[in-house]
Amino acid sequence: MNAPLLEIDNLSIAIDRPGGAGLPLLTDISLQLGRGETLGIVGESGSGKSLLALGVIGLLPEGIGSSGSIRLDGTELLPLADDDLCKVRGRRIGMIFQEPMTALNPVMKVGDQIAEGIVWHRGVGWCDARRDAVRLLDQVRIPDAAIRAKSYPHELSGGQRQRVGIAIALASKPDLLIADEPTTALDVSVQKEILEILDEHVRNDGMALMLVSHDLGVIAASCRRTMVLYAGARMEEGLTEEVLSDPRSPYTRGLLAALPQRRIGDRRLAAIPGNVPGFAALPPGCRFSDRCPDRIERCQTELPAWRSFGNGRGVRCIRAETAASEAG
Amino acid sequence: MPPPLVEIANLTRDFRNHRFFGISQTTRALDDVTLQIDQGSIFGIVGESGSGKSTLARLMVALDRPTSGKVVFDGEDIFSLPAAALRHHRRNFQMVFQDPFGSLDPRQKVGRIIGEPLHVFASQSARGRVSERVAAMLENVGLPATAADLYPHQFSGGQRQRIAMARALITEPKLVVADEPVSALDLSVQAQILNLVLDLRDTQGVTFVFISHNLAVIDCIADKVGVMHSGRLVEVGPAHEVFDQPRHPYTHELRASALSLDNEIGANPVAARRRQTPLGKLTGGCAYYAQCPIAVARCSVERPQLRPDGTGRLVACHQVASVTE
Repeated sequence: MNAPLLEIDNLSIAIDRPGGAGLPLLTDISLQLGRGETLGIVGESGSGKSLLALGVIGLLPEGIGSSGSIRLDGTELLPLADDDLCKVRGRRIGMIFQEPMTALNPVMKVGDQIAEGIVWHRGVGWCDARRDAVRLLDQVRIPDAAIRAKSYPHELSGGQRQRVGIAIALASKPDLLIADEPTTALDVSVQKEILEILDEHVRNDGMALMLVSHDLGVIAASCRRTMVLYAGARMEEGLTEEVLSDPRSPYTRGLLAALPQRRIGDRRLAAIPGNVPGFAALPPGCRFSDRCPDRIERCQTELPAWRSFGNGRGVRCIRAETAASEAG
Repeated sequence: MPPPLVEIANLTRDFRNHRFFGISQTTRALDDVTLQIDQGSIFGIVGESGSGKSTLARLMVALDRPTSGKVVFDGEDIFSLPAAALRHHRRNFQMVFQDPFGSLDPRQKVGRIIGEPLHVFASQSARGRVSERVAAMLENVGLPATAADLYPHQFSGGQRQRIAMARALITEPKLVVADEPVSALDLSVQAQILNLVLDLRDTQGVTFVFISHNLAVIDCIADKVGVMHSGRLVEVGPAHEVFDQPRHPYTHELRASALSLDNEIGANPVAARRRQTPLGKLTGGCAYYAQCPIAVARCSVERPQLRPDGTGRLVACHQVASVTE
């Protein structure tokens, strides 16, 4: 097997604080993603999933720093200067943002917004780039692409705008596409179509896809592997099918149980008590310990280490460790 | 059987779009909706964005006035009431909004937010006990009574939605209309709020109209469901039955597009039917005609009415009606 396209080792992202250690937002993230592979990042708000996406593409806001290693095709991205990063961003790594309303430039025709990236990265003329833009719009199934290319974002519906966002991301045929909640603002029927378009590119062009979502259904539909984040740490990783059908982390189990489903009789839904903690007020020990139904005393004093079972499967839970050693 | 709590008849709401140049356009956001909501039930409304769910919700609690049609609440036509009487009546129906961040005044303490409706509605004698009632209500929705002295920003999204629920319930309403109350919440917290709605219905007999675009949420808590498309109700019936065996082709499509774990784990993504968004709006005929897989010529000229299909359900589709007629 070739070296994976994207390799992240020990990535930590923290807010810089004057004189002293930064406030960690994401810790100890490691992952690998090969060409044509799909990885889902699941987590609730405040779990750091969007931050991870922004960290990979180097768009972290001012005052937030990252350490560790992000390699794309063997090239270390973190030490790159902005100019060099710009050549990677957009050309090798594409990104789809969550809000189709704000991610587009409101005073620029959508066709030109797509063409801009093509002109910038491929050095072709505007005329050819605009023609390419129409082809891309057609590819993301916007009817009457040639006419639509001349519209402004406000003239399009939410679903169409998100498709324009995808067309922009796909314009330079990126090796890696990061999609941050690409369908959250959209209706279910549009959502399905968008996921299909992404899937087409993964299958036909060998694009790698990192899909960030809080929706387990979306992840299950489009990602082969899944990583579950909670409060800035990965709790579980593995093949989507295994993670969702045989979860080893109590947090994953809680998420699955909390999915709304038909109740039998008067039974209530299984809710996870409490709220996602803020980064400044993480519980000591395991980050999920204050909400975990299976916690033991050790969970509140000791931070469980990441434990890998091989085959890409891993979990962060003291109970899973003891269960494994008892079984072994 | 007791009469329905809310009877909505032929409710229509037009919005005029005034343009700078050229002629103004009229958009029909709600089109001839007729609906009954039973006492003590949870009535779910599903549909995509722009289908008229929120317009219907706002009309039900008289936050907006219809172009035509009426809403009869507890035997009284709320839009024919004089302003003072309507105001007096408002304590009986309350609303919970989608955005738990925008719907609470950031500069008021929680106790003030929840107690405000009492200052407006309660009789003079009851006013002294406002803080007691607020404390009791906070406990009712699962928050400590001490929460009354804090500001909204000190709470998480789920807690704020509980505060919004407490504010709605403090006047002891008979009906609470909740417009996407869990859409902005995390999965783990969403379940807490859904359980709260069920508890409030069971212990206090509050009737809920629960709007969501998430079919699983509605399937989980609603007794009956109404499916909306383009401002019209296309199917109404018991929630489980409607989702198990949708009769209207649009309900079918909605259900097929919903991604549930049971369907998706291990399944290969299937290429769905390519759908062309209709560009022009049809004037006569069924609004779903352009996308409908079972449409016939009649559907393009004659608008189907919501009719009983013979199995205790209401469906607005010529193709379904023809089966039973």
